[in-house]
Amino acid sequence: MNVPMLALNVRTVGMIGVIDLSGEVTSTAERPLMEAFALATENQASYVLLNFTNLNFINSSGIGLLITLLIRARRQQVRLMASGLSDHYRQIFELTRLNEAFALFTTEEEALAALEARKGSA
Amino acid sequence: MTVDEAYEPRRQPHCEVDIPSKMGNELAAVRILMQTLEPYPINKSILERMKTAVAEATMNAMEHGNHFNEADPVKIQILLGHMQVIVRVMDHGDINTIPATETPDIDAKLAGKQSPRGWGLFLIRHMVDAMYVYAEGNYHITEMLWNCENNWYQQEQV
Repeated sequence: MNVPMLALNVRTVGMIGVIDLSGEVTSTAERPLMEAFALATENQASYVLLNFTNLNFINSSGIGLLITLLIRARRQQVRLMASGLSDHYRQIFELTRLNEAFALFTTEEEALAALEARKGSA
Repeated sequence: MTVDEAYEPRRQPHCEVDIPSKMGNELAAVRILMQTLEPYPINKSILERMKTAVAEATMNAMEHGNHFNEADPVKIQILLGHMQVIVRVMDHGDINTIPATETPDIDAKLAGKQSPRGWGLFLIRHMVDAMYVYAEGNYHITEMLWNCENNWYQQEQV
């Protein structure tokens, strides 16, 4: 039996919720991912960063799941960011135009620095 | 040489395996593909494209072709040609086994005008160098082809 495995870890960095995704993002990830998002935004975070550094695999259902998450985030006026995508998955984000809906960063540090700079210029 | 000129559909499979039509087993197909290709120096970006396309095609075959009937397995054939890898994913659906879907549009999906899903065929088409869908015997076959720059097949024949 091959059960797709995904481990999620939710952290707070300042006012930003960070979700670390390790493993495989497929249709079975829906419930844990939505729960992780709820946890990441329970302190009214305006930004949530999905850290894909340890992502092994994402399929078309996983992409659909990210779109469902985007819809939920927009309703809550939360901006989604993503970091740590491999070249392959960055290409898939570009093909599907997910890169226009997520703010993409190479690393978590780069994402946090961009938000700091934004706060500084506001 | 174009993809079609180089196409060698009659070569015997290097590997053939039956995979039960059960959700999650598309990753078994990917693992078998990677094990089969491990000895060959294929570019990592091509391998990543293969993984995505074979997983999607296997999932489509299990769901739409075999309706997740575990007793009706999806057959995977891996063929190694001259600078080519060909993967056939075979199910028992008919030639129209994958329902025609509208082109996925993220704006429409975010606006609720399209389902968030429906990216499978789109991904396959963008991950392969060529793709053929046909029926043969009792099988509906999705055949995907990748061109590899390394001439490893000839090396193996020496």
